[in-house]
Amino acid sequence: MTKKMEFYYFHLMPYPYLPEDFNKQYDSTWVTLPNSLYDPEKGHHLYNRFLDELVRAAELGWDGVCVNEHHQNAYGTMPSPNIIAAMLVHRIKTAKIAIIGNALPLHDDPLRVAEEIAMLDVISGGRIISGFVRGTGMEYYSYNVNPAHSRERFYEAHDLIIEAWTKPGPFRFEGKHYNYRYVNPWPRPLQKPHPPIWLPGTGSLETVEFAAEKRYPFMMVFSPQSYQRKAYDLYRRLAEDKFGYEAQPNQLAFAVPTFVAETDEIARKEAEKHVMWLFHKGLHTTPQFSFPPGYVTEKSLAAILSSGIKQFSQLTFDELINEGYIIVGSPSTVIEKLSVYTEEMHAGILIGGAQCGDMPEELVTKNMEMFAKEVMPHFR
Amino acid sequence: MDNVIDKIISVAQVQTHLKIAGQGSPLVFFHGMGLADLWLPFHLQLAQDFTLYAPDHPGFGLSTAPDSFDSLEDFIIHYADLLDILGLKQVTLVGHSLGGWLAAEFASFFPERVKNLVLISAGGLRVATAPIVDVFALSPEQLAMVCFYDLSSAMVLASQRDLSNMKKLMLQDYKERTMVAKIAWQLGYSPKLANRLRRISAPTLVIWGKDDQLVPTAHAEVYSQAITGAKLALLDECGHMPPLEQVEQVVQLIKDFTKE
Repeated sequence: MTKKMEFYYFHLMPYPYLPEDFNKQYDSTWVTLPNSLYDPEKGHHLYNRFLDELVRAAELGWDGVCVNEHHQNAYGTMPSPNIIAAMLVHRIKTAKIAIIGNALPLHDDPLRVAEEIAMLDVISGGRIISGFVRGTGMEYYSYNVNPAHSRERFYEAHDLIIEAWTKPGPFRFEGKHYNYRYVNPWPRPLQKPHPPIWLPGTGSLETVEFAAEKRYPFMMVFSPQSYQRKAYDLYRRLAEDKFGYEAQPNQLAFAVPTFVAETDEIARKEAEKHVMWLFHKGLHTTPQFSFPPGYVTEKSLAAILSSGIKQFSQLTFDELINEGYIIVGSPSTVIEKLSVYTEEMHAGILIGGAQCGDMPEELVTKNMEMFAKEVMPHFR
Repeated sequence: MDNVIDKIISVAQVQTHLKIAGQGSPLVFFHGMGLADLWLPFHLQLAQDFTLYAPDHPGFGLSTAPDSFDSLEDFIIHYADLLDILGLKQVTLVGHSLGGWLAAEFASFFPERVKNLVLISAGGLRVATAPIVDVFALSPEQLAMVCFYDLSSAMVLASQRDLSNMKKLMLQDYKERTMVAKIAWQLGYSPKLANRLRRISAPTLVIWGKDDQLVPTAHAEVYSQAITGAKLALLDECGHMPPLEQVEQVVQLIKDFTKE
């Protein structure tokens, strides 16, 4: 019997209208890309189209829709994912709304995050999933937050938010980076003990261990399948050996852009240009912006330097498919590839979605409808 | 100079590595970013007239630093402690770049410990019309281009680094940049340093490359105006690296100044 999978539709809300010679002219889609390239008239159309796409996903049967936080870039234009989530809460009636996530260390006032998520949870009747992330290296430049304090701030903000949601207020919170004399948020969240926490990441030991310890679903983002497999194995091993429980498929999630069409050939043809926008334009940046000092531990950096992993901009379309960064193919091919996750990797949540880079609306809709009709039922 | 002594001294929680060489009155040299644990012609020539103490800053070179070590105050107190342990009541203090910033801070907080102060291409100040370049945004190649008037002056560094182990060098560089980030990511200067400089009582010499692309010469002018009686020497054909680019001239300036 095929194992079950939950489906979440992830949108990055990119700004795709970059000049043809963009890669020659600019060394990064982040931090320094002049915002004179942003046309608010086009942005108006894009935001509304993208919101409609998320609503459509919920109508077609996705279990939830996902939004996230990024700053000062063309890759993803949701500086405030909570604002987007607020707009969706009223238009989507039953599906979950996953904010994956708020970039905690970037904010000097994480109590505000606790308040906003609690508001959304109460208004939505308990349909909010609250992801917590550190933000990309690039965002430490854009927000001028010290990357050497990133992990400290992440853990401290996490503790504050969980306490704010679960501990009767008012109480005092004293940390190195965050201090409050009165933590006492109104409203409190509706879900008990609090909205589910998801942790997106790229598989660093520290993050996987933190997720396994707290039993938070861990979500691998834009990585080769071999890395996803390692991270899941580590999570499951830590859960069992160190924290004394058996990890369930709904604790292992994977963010893999997924494209389906009538045949493998058509799917490849339709997807390639837009996938390459995501990896070659959307994720285009400098090593300095990706890895500001202190953003990763020396141990993690040593592992990255030894891994020989390619930069996104060096990956070809074939490599992206063959290494499992993306899934592209006919319904049967996509089912086969997703089954590897459910059958071999014990993972049970796909954060997929076809909208990618500059993919036109008609193609996005075609993909969603075919995926919902021909792929999803196989895993229900 | 054959008699260079490498020492590790415990200062609070920091295992501090320093090189000691030469004889004469004590001169402490604070290095810049990426320039720890070196023995360059600059050091050698200073050691001919002084007893040179060249420590690696905490978290740089072979010196350790606990995680809690993350502010300018930590550095300043560390160096006061180190001088106490070394039994040095008063020294000639020379600092270059990041080390120049630390030297200016130290001399502001502990003016009585500094006999002569030499600031070379020092960071630390905010000059609104001439901001310091964002070093964290530059690749190693771009940084070298910004630092040197003539890149051939950088060759001396290659002879002292194990270029066969690039991974180790990159990790060391990352570790040191992380320590710089801890104190300088958000501002890259001390907002209150300019006001503190009035406390410096030692005769002060400010040395700067005329072609410094990293810390513009406008900073040299502010330093030399804010410190009472300070002298300013601007060097031709020199960028941000006077101790590497104009070794003889810089050493001679220091020797002449301290004899006055």
